[in-house]
Amino acid sequence: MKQKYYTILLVCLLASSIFPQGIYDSYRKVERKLLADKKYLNVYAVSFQPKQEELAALSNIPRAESGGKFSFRIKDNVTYQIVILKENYELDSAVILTVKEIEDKAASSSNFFGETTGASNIDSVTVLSFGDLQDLYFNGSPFYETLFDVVMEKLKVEDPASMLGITGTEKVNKGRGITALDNSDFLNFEKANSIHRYPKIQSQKQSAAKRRGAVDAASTDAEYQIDVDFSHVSFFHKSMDFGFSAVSAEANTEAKGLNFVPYQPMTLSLGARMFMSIATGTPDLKKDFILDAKILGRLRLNMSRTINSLPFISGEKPLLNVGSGVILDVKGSRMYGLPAFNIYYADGNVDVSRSFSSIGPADSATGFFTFRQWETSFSFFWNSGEDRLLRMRMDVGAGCYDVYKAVYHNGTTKELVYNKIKPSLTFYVNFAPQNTDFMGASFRLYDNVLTASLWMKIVEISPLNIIRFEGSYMSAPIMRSNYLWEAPGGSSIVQLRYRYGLN
Amino acid sequence: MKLKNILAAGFLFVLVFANQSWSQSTAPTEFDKQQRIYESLEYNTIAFNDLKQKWVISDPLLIREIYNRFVVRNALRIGGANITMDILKAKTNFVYESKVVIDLRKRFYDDEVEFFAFTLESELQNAKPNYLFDPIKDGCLLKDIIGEKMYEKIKTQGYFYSSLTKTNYDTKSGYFYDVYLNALEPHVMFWNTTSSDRNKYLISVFGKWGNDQVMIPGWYSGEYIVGSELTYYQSISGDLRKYLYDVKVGTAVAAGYPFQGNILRQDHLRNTGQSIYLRASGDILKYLIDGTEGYTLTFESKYTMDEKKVREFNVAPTDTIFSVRDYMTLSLRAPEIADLGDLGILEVAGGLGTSDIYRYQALPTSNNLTDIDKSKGWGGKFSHNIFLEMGVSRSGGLIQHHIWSTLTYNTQGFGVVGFGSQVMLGDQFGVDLRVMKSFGLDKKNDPWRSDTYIVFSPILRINY
Repeated sequence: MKQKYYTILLVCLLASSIFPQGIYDSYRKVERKLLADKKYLNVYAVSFQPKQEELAALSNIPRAESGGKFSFRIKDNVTYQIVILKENYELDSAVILTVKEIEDKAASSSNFFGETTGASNIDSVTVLSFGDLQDLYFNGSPFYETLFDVVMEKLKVEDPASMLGITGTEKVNKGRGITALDNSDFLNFEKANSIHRYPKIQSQKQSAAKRRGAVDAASTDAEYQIDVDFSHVSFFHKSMDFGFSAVSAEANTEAKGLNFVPYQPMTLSLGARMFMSIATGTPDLKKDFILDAKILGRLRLNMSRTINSLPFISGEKPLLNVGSGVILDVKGSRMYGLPAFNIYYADGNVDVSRSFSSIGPADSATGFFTFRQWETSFSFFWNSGEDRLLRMRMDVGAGCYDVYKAVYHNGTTKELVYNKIKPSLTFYVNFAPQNTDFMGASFRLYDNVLTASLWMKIVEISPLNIIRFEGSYMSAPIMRSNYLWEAPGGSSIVQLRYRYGLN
Repeated sequence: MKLKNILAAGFLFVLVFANQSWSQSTAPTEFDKQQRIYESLEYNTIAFNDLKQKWVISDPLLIREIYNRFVVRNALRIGGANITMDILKAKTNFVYESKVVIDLRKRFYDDEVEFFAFTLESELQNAKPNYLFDPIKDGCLLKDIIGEKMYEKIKTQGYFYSSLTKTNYDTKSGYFYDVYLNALEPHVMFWNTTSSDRNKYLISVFGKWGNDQVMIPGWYSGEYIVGSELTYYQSISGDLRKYLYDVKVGTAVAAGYPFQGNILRQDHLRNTGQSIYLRASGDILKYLIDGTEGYTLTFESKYTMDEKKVREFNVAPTDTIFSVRDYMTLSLRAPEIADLGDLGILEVAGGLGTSDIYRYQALPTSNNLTDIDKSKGWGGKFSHNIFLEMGVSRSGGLIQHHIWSTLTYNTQGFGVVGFGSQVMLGDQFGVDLRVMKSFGLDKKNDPWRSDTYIVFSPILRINY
């Protein structure tokens, strides 16, 4: 009978212990997660080295899962890492997940003079597992309370170290690109595309230093700068830098307000460019108003016999003569909340006495001339993202040019035949991986003519010497027929561009 | 002795079941807490749940392979509890019939699987599908159940699957600058300021080609209006049309016709003088009549002040130059009449318009143009019309559209019916197309009007 009771008692006691079995499965799941999924866990580590007075409360801690008992110890090369889960939407207080003992074995092997010998040898052991700690917690153990108090005290004085290993949290996810409220985009663009010197802003200097390793950023600033290709040349020397402004020289064969590739205007423009930043307070290129103004004289060059022989230009001989005159070309950064702006104005004396390009028989030839051109636009900038990998710009504006028709028959007669304002639209895109200008393109639509340009860096010999390949294609008029002064078909130019000191 | 036995049995009973009830009352609480700890371990990316990589495995053999591993590891649960053999057999029938698919989702910042569930294919159309078993929400646990090799296979997606990953196309309007390039009605907003609270003043330059409300859409008008615009928002919102007032002032310049040569056809409308254009629009009725908030009243007018000289026209003396020099419209747009879901918001507008028509000749005997209808006087050249528009518009999301139908009837007995559409993709690229058909038209009297009008333009928008 007694044996029967004892048997029943044993069976019932065993049965009663089966019910909380699911809890240990949960412990396993958490411990496996902590071990296997290290990088994505939103847990924190608190470092702890117990003091003598704390030892008593942290000795002989029973470990229901791991077995045996554990006591914290005081040793110079031993640190305890308490891994915690902070309170969140699911938990109303922090939870201690594990305690690890980290021993620096190299530090313990010092020589006679107290110096450590050999490489660091860190040994990390889990001394209290999740199951052990949860068991202590649910049994109301004072050991858990002591550990919890230690953690709370630590959190009051310092932030715990996050053990999250994913890099995605370092960058902010954004749906759209960005546009700068200051002059950064304007300066980045001009630095990459202008034929003249633009000062570096701080982020560009740092990138240059990173790219070249140990090279000092200051050593990439050359004493003089040159930008030359088949159709223009610009020159700057540091003696032309006056602090608040800088002057450089330029010569080119282009005509900005007209649909021509270089050399087709049959002119040579020579002059100076002034760069000025106007600061209201402490000078800061990103916030100052920047003015980039050129004054050039335009001279006519009779290239009517040679222009078709130039190997890097293709297209029919132009029919429009561009007159001599003066050019004012101004660019400005943001001012009073307005966008960056561009103003181009060229004007000269109306003189149709000599036509380099005429139509019709020699005794009654007709020549077309343009003397005044102007164009103005606002520039809008935006970037693909925070890294500014793709840098885009849109110029929206209007332009106008006049056309005089001169008839050389029984003297010379002239009349104004064209003087209309037309919208102009130009889209630019620069590709700048790691803040290094590598490639760019532009598409301009003006007076129904589309001009596409492309440049690409092909050689970089030290940061100072850069060679680019450039090409432009200008289409025939779209959605209208040719004017009398427009040569049929499109035109194109390819060239190499050398930049020294303009990195 | 009997009493002793009863007491002993009673003691055992209390011992066992008291223990059990203590276990029952604490175990679920403990279990819940463990579950919450387990679910809190991962970095929370709930804000990206709809953008995470999602897909469905529908390969029947692969599904059986994975399912079998779950069976072997006894990892299938319903409501957190083990399932019986009967339930397993019943659910497995769906696998035999190839009705089961696997619904998966990856974590946002790395490539690990964070959600795995067996479900019926028919459940996929439900926003919250019923799963056959409890989903697995931990890649480590999944790896443990199906093995590392199978887990890697699932992760790398080297099998037939259906991708359900959402791409975010939501667009919001910006007030820093707005470059809206549409040949028919472009505008460039380049300056903005806030004077108090969340209001906004915007300054733009605008263009306008034609006027639908006086039946001369797009390039059929022969004039292009350019000018400046001031817009005021009492409080910024996602809809740029919800301004308090908008004022445009400009002038008309001569415009050509696309797809034609430089010489205009005689029956095209032309610009014959310097003009002034004014458009004032606003949600101002609410200050006069209660309950009219959102109703937009618009007044639009163009007045040509002078006449060009004969020498400015390259036409034969016998040709007639047609010109609409002045017009005026008054319209009222009703706010959101009805929400038609994905189709958009229903809008209705209507109003009155009046426009003149001048017929000139460029005679070489005079510097000034000769008005053929001079006897009619200024007022006699006007005709009046009534117009109605109804359409739907939708903003936000991947596709934004504004599609409307229009009906205009002139007091001279003719009219125009048609539709217009502005459709944008991601609020950046789009097309504007308007098609109108005349009815009751007497081409002899009005040779400058067309039987059919088709105008269109690509749209490019950059807004920050």
